[in-house]
Amino acid sequence: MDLFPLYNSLRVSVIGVSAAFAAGVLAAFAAVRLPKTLKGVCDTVLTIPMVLPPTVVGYFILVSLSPKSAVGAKLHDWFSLTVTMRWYASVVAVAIIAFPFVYRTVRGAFESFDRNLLDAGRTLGLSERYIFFRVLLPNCKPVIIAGAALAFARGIGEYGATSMVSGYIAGKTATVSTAVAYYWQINQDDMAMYWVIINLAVSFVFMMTINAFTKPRVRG
Amino acid sequence: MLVCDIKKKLSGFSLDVNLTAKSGVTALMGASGSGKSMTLRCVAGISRPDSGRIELNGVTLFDSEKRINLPPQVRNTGFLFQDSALFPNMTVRQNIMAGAKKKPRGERADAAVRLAETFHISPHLDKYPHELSGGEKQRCALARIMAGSPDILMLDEPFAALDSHLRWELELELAAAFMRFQKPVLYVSHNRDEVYRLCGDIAIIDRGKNEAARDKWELFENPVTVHAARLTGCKNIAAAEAEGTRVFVSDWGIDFERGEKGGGIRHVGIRANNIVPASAAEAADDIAASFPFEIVNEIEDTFTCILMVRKRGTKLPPIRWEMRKKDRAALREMPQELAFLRKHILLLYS
Repeated sequence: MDLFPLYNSLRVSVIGVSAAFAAGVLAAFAAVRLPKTLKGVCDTVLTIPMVLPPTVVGYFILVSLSPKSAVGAKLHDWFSLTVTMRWYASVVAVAIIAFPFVYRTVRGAFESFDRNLLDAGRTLGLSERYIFFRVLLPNCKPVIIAGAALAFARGIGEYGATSMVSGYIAGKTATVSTAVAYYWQINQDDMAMYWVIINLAVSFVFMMTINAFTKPRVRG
Repeated sequence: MLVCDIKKKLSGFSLDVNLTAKSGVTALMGASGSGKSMTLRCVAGISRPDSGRIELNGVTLFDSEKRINLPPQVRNTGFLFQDSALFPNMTVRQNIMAGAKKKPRGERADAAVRLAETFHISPHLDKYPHELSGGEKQRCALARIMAGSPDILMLDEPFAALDSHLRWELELELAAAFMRFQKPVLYVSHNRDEVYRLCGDIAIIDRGKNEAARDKWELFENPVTVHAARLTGCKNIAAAEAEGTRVFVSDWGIDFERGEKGGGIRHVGIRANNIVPASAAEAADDIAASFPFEIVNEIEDTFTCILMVRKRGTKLPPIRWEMRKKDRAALREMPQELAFLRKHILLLYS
């Protein structure tokens, strides 16, 4: 049995969600400091992939990265790099789709964070960097991990944008979710079922992880 | 020495503070929302004044004209928050070590042990903040501040989040820490007893504006303004009018001779425990005013009795008269008249 789609799904999700994670945490940190109106605008722009149909996101990626587009052409000329219809196009898709999940959960945690702790750190002479990595992030850890797991669950099951930007090329761009659709279309129901079960198992593990980390903890 | 002359617009009122604090403990006393905490935040650099100047030991921390605004990290101020603001993800030891960030690593560990000893939290060094009592948290926060050897110590109502039985212990700890500190301490509170016990000078602040810091004995003896009188615990304050050398207090139904022109007097006050039976005065000349009275209401407090009284036969607002319980028992033989002694009447110019 060829497990490539699972391997590819995990690879795409890990890389894509990692990128979304770093970007989401930084964006959340920046957004909290913005003035109210500007924050509203940024918020809308940054979370819109969450409500758009994934195919629309896929369309935007194709338009901006295909060899015919400005950026795509430059990438092709300078690095002989074609992004679309490759596995790394899925990474871009997953990163964009997963980003709002990280951004929203983490922003919520940052917003409700006790500002006195940050101010206390500053009066103690601790650098902003130290405060961010040693005070803010560790104390938001449960929420951040939950956000990452949510993003990962969404990313690994991503179909719409992925199938548009990477298609289904066996052994090259196939993912768990595109495999399900592919085998269904060519009437191999047992194979489709096989990938459905794998998909369910992966989702189950991730939802368990989310629940484990978002359990309310009693603090005195 | 701290020199702080700042203005800042806040929602509802504007902060306009002009304060000088020498070594020793200076209290900034005012009601909730009077701008006391904001003043401390501005000095620490975690809030930014709109204009003005802040100088600590000759170093300019903030100057709107010269466009100087040092970040809080380099101001070297110690700020004790109401809720202690310990980092929940770090143990007591790590918290104190974080405060000593400027020192080399080995020294930091030693400093944590030493400071924990000083503040009597050694047994808790490896506990997390949520395992500590409120008083222990504050002592840990104080140790963390001291680890950085600040040039000024600022305390924002350090007892506010504590149960009353824990306060006394922390207060003793604070008093000892202030003695050792030998640098300026700014202490923010609305509790007059706390302030009286811990501080040397007191600056009254009301709706963002402060009065100059005064010696505490002088302030309690002669508060001068209504706000100061109220904050120092004077329960009876009434509007007064001065005509020539006489002062008329219509709310109490009395008037008295002042001996000199009373220009500018707007209110008078008398502390609840300073009211005496007229018969108790040593000389008739000590009495400013005396009057027959009736009891409107009697309330038994923990250690005192509070009588709400007014001039007999009137509907005037009652005056609060407070005495020890044994004095109340001795009063069963009711005196005919009450007296306000000259030395006890507070003349208030606002």
